[in-house]
Amino acid sequence: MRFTSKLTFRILLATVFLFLAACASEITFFVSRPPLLPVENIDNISIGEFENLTDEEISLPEGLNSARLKSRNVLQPNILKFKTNKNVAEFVKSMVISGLSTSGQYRLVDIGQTIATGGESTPDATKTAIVKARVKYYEFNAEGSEKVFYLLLATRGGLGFKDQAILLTSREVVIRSAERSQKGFRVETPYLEKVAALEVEFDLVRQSSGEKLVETQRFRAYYNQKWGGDENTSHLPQPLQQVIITKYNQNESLAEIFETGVAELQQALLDPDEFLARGGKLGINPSVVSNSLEIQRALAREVVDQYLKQISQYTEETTLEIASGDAIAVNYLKGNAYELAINRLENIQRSEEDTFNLALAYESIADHRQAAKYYREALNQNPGNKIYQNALKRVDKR
Amino acid sequence: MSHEIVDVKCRLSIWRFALFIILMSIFVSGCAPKIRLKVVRPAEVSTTGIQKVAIGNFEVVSINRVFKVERDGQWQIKKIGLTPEQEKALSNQIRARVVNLLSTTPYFQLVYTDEFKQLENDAALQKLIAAGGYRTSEINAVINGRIWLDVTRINSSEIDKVDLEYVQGGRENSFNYTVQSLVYWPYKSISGSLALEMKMTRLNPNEIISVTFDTRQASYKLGGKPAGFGDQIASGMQAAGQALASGLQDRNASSGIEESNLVLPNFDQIVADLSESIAAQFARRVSVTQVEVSYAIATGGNKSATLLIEAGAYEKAIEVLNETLARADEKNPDDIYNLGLCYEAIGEFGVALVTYNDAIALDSNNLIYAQGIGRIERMKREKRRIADQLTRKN
Repeated sequence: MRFTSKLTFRILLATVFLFLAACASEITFFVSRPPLLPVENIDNISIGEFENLTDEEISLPEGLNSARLKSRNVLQPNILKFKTNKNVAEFVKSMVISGLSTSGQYRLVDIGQTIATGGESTPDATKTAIVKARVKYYEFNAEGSEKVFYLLLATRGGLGFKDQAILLTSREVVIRSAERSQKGFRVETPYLEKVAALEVEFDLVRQSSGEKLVETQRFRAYYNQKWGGDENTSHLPQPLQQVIITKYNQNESLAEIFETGVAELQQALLDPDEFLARGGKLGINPSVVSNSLEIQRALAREVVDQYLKQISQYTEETTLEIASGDAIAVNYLKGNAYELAINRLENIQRSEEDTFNLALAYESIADHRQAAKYYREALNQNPGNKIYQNALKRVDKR
Repeated sequence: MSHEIVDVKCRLSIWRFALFIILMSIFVSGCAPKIRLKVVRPAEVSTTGIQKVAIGNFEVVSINRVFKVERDGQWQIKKIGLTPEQEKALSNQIRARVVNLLSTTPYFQLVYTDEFKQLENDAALQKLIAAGGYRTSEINAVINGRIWLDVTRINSSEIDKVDLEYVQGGRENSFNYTVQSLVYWPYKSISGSLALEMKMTRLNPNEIISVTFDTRQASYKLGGKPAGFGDQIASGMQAAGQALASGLQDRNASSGIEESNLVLPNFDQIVADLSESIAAQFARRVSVTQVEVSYAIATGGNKSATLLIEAGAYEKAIEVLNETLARADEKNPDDIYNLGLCYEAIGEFGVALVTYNDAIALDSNNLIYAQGIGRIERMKREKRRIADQLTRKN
């Protein structure tokens, strides 16, 4: 009962903070970002071959060397290499196609089909790019049991709140350190562990000449989780497990769980049909062991999203600072009417702040060339301004 | 009996929580004079010129069906393979869900023919279409699909400590000790994932109109150790969302069969739920849909038009606002903005943009007019179809 009221209080507090933040006067920009790589003069994209590479190794995360991977608490078999053992190229391909068809920047064409029909709809081969990929996937499933130490204590109850809290905390410390140094009852405990790794190399070539439009892009994603058993042991050496869990695993924090929950509730309230169509009716129990397809989907999503940002325009919600220039243009920017703001700022006598705001508007519609030009112009007028310098860095990466 | 009481208590707390969220949302909406509008969203996938559609084969790319059982630390893993007939039946089951949901959309008519269904895979279908070798003449497009499925069931147990509290007397400083005990918590779980690619191919001229790829997952568990704090929040919110959405949904799709969370769904039921959810999403992608949004309304204009907009009578509001604006010597920009809002609500984004521009020309410092333009500019940048519509109209 006490627990429930504490929970409600925490949720109440978090909700109030969340909503107060929503009322603050920060300006949210829906910025269209250009592709991170310079893909120029391409209107159409066609999907080429997605090849499964068998019996090849997937590189370990950056900075790790399998020869040096040693750890005490390793379960057998000890995994030091990720050697391809499953074909997932078709799955990755479907995800790329659907991502490209919703991004809206390119027309997705099927060269074979259009050539078959011939005529006007044949896309210009010089403006058509072909995506090709080489896919490696590794999956490991362990089902076993191990001896785990459990120390059981008896403690005094019925104390005041403060004393009870101190007692319970110290009990946890004592138990943890004792169990770590293998004291307590040894009990056979079942566990499940899953390891997966995906590596994809993408190539984007011009259809007419076969030349590479951008360098070969390689992306990797890894997964590791264990359910049950001793939380300090794994089939992976500890350094490798640490890197995968901290850098690649998708465990949500409490705040994120709450934020997602609120967003879903809002959708259920505003648009129940959409909520149900997006799978709202399906139960998700977070403590259930993930299945193979679920892990495959998560890794493919990570890799494909990273790649699509390299070659295709995307939208990002961000907060940016507007300079206090022409009031009308500032109002347009606050309303996210960037083209209207550009139209106004191009045609008035501009101050240094106006030039900065003009650059901001260009940045928001993904025209980084113009944005850099005007950020530079603003910076020439006020060379020491840190905000201008940072803004220029943002758009002038290439 | 005790289960029922717990269930009722649980539902009550879910509803209390949902009510709290609603109240907070109302409180927040006080930040700006916003109203909820039902606005038209064009189909993500353009089906212009397509009236009659046939559904082709749903090819199974991979199926993984596993049953893992653990007793005393020993695991038995059973991979349940499917015979070609069972695979075909599964593909038909998923296909039937799609057919069922698409047949309810008014945007095109389904033609029931087996000609395309008999083709083994996508390559065979594309070859037939390209060569023009099909017999069914009256259809405009074919939808075919590819399926990936994984359903894993686990029977095992978790080991966790519980605190057993011994109390004698119950008064302050009375005899009160907590003893830890190790408990085996047996559980059964099922998790299912389905990925479905659906391709719509126009027959004449031969082109691929769209390829969508959606994935869904569901997982259920009976028993097991008590959930942690984060899991409790996640499942509480999920249950509240489901209760809200089912309660608010116009057409209640309830089949009348009572579902119990004390029984784990079986393989067929999981597959049915997953495929129905993906099919519903696809049906929304190819249809013009109505979504509820919260936009600012201008309050300084014609009051009856404002009331009409709030009630969702956009066409009537357009009529009233056009009359008001035609009569007025000096046009009220709030009326012009609200007119734009009506056009946006009925999906006339080109006219809405022009109207918002007229309003902002009269009052350039008004933020909600700028937000109207900002919304359409954003849609134009993100949705190719709307950009095309705006280019045609302007």
